[in-house]
Amino acid sequence: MFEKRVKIKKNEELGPGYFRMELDCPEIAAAGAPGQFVMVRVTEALSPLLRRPFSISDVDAGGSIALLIRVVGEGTRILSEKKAGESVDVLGPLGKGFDIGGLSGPALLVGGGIGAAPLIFLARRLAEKGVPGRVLLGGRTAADILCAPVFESLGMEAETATEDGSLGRKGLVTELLAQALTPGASAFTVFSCGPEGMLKAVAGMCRRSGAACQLSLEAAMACGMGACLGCATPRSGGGYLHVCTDGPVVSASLWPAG
Amino acid sequence: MTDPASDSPAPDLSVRVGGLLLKNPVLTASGTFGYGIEFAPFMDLSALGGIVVKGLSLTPSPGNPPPRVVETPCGMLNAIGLENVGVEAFLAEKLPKLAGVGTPVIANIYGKTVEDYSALAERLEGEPGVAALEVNISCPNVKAGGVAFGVDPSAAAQVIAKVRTRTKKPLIAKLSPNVTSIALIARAVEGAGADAVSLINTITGMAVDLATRRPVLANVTGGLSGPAIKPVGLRMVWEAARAVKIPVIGIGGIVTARDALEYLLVGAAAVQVGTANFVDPAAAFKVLTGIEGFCRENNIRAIRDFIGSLEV
Ligand SMILES: Cc1cc2nc3c(=O)[nH]c(=O)nc-3n(C[C@H](O)[C@H](O)[C@H](O)COP(=O)(O)OP(=O)(O)OC[C@H]3O[C@@H](n4cnc5c(N)ncnc54)[C@H](O)[C@@H]3O)c2cc1C
Ligand SMILES: Cc1cc2nc3c(=O)[nH]c(=O)nc-3n(C[C@H](O)[C@H](O)[C@H](O)COP(=O)(O)O)c2cc1C
Ligand code: FES
Repeated sequence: MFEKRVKIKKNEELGPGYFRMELDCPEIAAAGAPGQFVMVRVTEALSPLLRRPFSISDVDAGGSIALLIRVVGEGTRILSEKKAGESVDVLGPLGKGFDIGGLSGPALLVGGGIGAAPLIFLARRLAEKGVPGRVLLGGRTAADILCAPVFESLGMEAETATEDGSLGRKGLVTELLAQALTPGASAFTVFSCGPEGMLKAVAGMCRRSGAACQLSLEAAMACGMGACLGCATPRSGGGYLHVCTDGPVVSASLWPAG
Repeated sequence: MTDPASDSPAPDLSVRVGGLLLKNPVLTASGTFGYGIEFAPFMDLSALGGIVVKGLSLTPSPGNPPPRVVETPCGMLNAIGLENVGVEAFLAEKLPKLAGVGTPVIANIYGKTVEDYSALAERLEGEPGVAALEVNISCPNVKAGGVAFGVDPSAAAQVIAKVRTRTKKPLIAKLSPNVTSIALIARAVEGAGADAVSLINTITGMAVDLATRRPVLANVTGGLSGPAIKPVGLRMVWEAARAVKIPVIGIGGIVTARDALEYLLVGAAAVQVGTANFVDPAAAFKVLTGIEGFCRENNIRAIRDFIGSLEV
């Protein structure tokens, strides 16, 4: 685990409200695994006070890590306005990532909006391991479908669904998932990240079809490293998981699905 | 800690807090430093004056439903609900990892009844790895208890008197700021046998969401901490330090060495760093080195000489 001030190499707007920030951070690039996250301090001042969590979206051989950032409030707005050459304080890599140790079949990645972020790094590691896979990306509009060409460049077929029909199928990404999870498809392992409602639907569909499923969860966090116990989410069978240490990636069986 | 480049002797930072001799006045606050070991990657834990661990109850407690935390201007609200592994798991799994940590480990305890507190004190009494007890009579989150003891001087005294009969370890009473007179409560626990008081715990607060017209925290209310509460903490520590003879440990919004020094100035014998640990996991260590630097710059040979030197 590292805590370090690092240089911003690039900060590009991908589309309205979405940014891709590249940080010069060889330690985290080397130690990080897909699904893990970093806590970024957005300012040296006292407000916004707490670090903000972001999935490691990609790494490169040059020691960079990439974050995909959706602007939703003050902290993400400040980050979106940072320029190459400025620096930010990052803490990571944190949490448990996707388990890709003993995959028996192909991978099926399901992302909703900014939930595509950790799936890119995952696709890269799967490609390196020679695990075949597909990615299903959903969003409200075409602008919310992130980085489909990046998945394709990593050898993954990408299918998209938008609620307004502006790109791909008109509807929800779970409709694409329903098609993919046809009988006999249980050899898939599903990896998913996106809004809570989507994750619940994905978990439920996988449970019914018998497909193994790993989810990347979110929770309000203060520390990101197991110290505050703020990041609780219900655990199947009672009690709570801590998203920053038990997750953010958990087996869907641990999370009470909708 | 000594700076080889400097020829002035290292300032004496040691302080005595109710029977505990601390190598310096910087401790970490309960609930903000996990069980201690989480922070080992970021600093030499033995440099700290002490570590106060997450509040312990007799049996494990799952805590409150989420959301449990939300940021507020220069601070945060939490309603963790005192989730903890329970005293037995703490002793079996957590405390051994702190063996040889080189700084006193202080157990923070809470209960729903006077009997809970006394049973916890009894259980910890024979544990050499626990240097002192900090008795939390101030948590505003658990409806069934906590707050009832901390806001009523006679109930506060009752808990402390009972724990006193069960422990020979230094006993620190942790006080709630959610009271009209902190001096009254501080005097009550001093009279009941506390060796020190620590304050402030979080200030009860609330956040609401205009879009959903619902409270942000599932618990509806939570405890405010962080830089936003420092002025309240300073005022209460100053009042408590004038009201009692036992040492006062200052807590609330300490981020930098300057914040900590302000608490020492108004009379705190030591301080605890809380929410700042989340923002910078090395915060407590930086506070400590900053205090040392301040002493050198101002020719303060012993921090004891600076404590309580406020001129009003
Ligand atoms: C493990 C983890 C990984 C994450 N990865 C990414 C990522 O790769 N890219 C990315 O853009 N975001 C990611 N997030 C979400 C991101 O942390 C939040 O969007 C960010 O903290 C908001 O900060 P802010 O100051 O801009 O907004 P705030 O002012 O804190 O909040 C503004 C609004 O956003 C809502 N909000 C705050 N936090 C979250 C959250 N965690 N999820 C959904 N809504 C939230 C608030 O309720 C509020 O309505 C991740 C969160 C977690 C827990
Ligand atoms: C997330 C969180 C959990 C806490 N848990 C406890 C606890 O278990 N017992 C306790 O006595 N105080 C607890 N506190 C209170 C702190 O120890 C401290 O008194 C308070 O946060 C004020 O200091 P600060 O502003 O530096 O954080 C907690 C505070 C926070 C923010
Ligand atoms: S965010 Fe603090 S324990 Fe998970």
